[in-house]
Amino acid sequence: MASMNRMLPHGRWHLVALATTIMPGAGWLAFFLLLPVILVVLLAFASTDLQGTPTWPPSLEGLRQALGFGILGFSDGNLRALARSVVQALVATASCAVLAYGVVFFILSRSAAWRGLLLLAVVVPSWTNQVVRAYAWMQLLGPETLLSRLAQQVGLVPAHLGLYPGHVAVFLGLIYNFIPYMVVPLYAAAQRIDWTLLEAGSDLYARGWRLFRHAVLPQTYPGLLSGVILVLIPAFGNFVVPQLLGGNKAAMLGNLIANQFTLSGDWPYGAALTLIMLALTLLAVVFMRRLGSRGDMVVL
Amino acid sequence: MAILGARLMQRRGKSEQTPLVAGHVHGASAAQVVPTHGVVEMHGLSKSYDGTSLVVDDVTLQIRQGEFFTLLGPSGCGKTTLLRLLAGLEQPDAGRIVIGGMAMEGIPANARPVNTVFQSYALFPHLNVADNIAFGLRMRRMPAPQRSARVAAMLEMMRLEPLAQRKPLQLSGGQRQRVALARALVNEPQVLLLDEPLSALDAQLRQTLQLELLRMQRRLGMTFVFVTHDQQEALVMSDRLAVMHHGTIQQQGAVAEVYERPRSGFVAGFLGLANMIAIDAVSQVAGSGQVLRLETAIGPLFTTMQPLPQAPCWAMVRPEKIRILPGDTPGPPGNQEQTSSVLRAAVRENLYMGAISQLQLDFGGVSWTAQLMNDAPGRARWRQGEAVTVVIEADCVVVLAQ
Repeated sequence: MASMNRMLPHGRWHLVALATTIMPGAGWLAFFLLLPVILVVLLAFASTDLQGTPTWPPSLEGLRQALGFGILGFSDGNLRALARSVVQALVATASCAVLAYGVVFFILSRSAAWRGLLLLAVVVPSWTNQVVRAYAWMQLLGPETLLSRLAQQVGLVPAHLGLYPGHVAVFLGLIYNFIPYMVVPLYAAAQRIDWTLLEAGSDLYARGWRLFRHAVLPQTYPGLLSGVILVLIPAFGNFVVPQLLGGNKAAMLGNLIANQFTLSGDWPYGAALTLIMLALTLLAVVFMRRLGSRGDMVVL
Repeated sequence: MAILGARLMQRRGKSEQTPLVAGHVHGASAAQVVPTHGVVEMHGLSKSYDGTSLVVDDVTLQIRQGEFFTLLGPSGCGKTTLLRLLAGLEQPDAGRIVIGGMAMEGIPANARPVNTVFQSYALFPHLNVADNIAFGLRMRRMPAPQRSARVAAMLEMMRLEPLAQRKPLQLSGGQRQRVALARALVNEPQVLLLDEPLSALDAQLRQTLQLELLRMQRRLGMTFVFVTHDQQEALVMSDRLAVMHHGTIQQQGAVAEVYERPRSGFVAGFLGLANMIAIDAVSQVAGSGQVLRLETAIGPLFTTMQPLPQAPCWAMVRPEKIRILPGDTPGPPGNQEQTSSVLRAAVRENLYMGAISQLQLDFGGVSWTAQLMNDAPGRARWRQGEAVTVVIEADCVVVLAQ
């Protein structure tokens, strides 16, 4: 650091150097992050003319609508969609984490030659379009399929109905879509696990969950946290999977937003919903950053 | 510390009774109790990782209650694997292990009456020193008040109180080592297993901790099984030791016995320095039933060792057993019965090593090493190229099978 300082020229040249090094990044951020956010904020507080085009003067109509106050009075539909999005995203993320631990430890238990291939097998499906993948799940979960019959037997769905369309299909679709983003960072962390900590744990009478909690979790925590951020946020905003697999009952916040911009053309309403979503996402990231900097999770 | 000490004394008293009684005291069913002579018994233990080469090859060993037992050998000799078999971290392919009178077959690591100090210490990085030490007690669900009393006693005994709130990353190597030891000792295992616990430390700290560890073991009267590749460490610390090579026990016994009377060239060479020469012929010395005359390339050697192992044999002499006299000395006084070997040699090298001088002696092409105490100022007086008389007492000449 000290040598860097000495290399930098002084005075005006210092400023020029600073500008040239910062400009590209700053410009990129301004154009692709700041500008869209400003546009969304402006849009969210715009009013609409008779054709539905956003205009000035500003109004709180979009925000009112987003919170559920429509022409016909208050409806809890939006809040339900919001709650559903949060719950679905959380459950899908937690399931991804549990499954990913299994997958990662299975891969790590194979020989070095197999590991790369198996990891590739986890990642490759994510290279196909998620619409195509959603259609594949429709085939697997329709009313007459083996899985749906099983679900009918167990009483998970009523007779003659399939797992698709419905919450189960959305849930499975989300997990399937996002599990690679959990597996990859977790694998990276698990590769560097010090296995003697597991041995020390069992030597000191730990087993099962407590062995995992003290010997595995702290060592893989950074990977898990990255995975959670990579899965939770896109799962929260996803609209393709619920739209294709959920039927009309499982709309998530992402669907509502997409609808405002595509079908009903009420942009201020959509922008207001987007703002709510951004705020929640930001909260989640801040929360997770705090978790990540907790002192007792320092990794060796 | 008083609590811990008292408990340990109590246990020690118990297990000095016959194992069968000890089994009843512990409430074990009679079927599980195997009459034993040692607190740890290994019978015909074998282990292979690849299915072809044996890492541990038919090892039978008994470790006695309260002793400091060392497994010594070069890296890859199977000593660490043997320790891991005891800890339950590996499963044997053949043979059985009995600890404290209980057969260990099918008993996982977390249910064995042993604890391990790992070479890398394997401290939990997310727990502070006190919590690391408390870990085993917590896993066994000891009530909190009792637990903190035990941890406090252990912190005091290991002089770790000022570090109790530190994380392992904030400790030096020696401090980590002490925490690892405390974390195992606090559980009061029947046997403490130590896997090269000092090998990551610098020489000086290592010597300090060797003594500390040894005194700790004496004070607690706990059985220690210690793995090391360092022969000096093994000599200093052990009551008894076993020398391992290629997965087999080469020799076991009390430290001095194994050092003074090694039974193979490998043991002689691994545990200290050894001068060896092939024996061509053996004859009885007339008038002395105790002494044998050994014909070798460097001249006749005399030994009191009997009976001799199967030929072919080596004669082995430790460097410090060699006495050096001026070149014109006919032999030590009173050697008419030939109880000493008297040989002629030339000094090829005289190395000053502080407490001792190490001489390379040339017996007409055969080179031996001698070590002399520097009991006067300066190095031993023998000059390079000087002709000397070498005297070796008959009870210092050991015969081993080739």
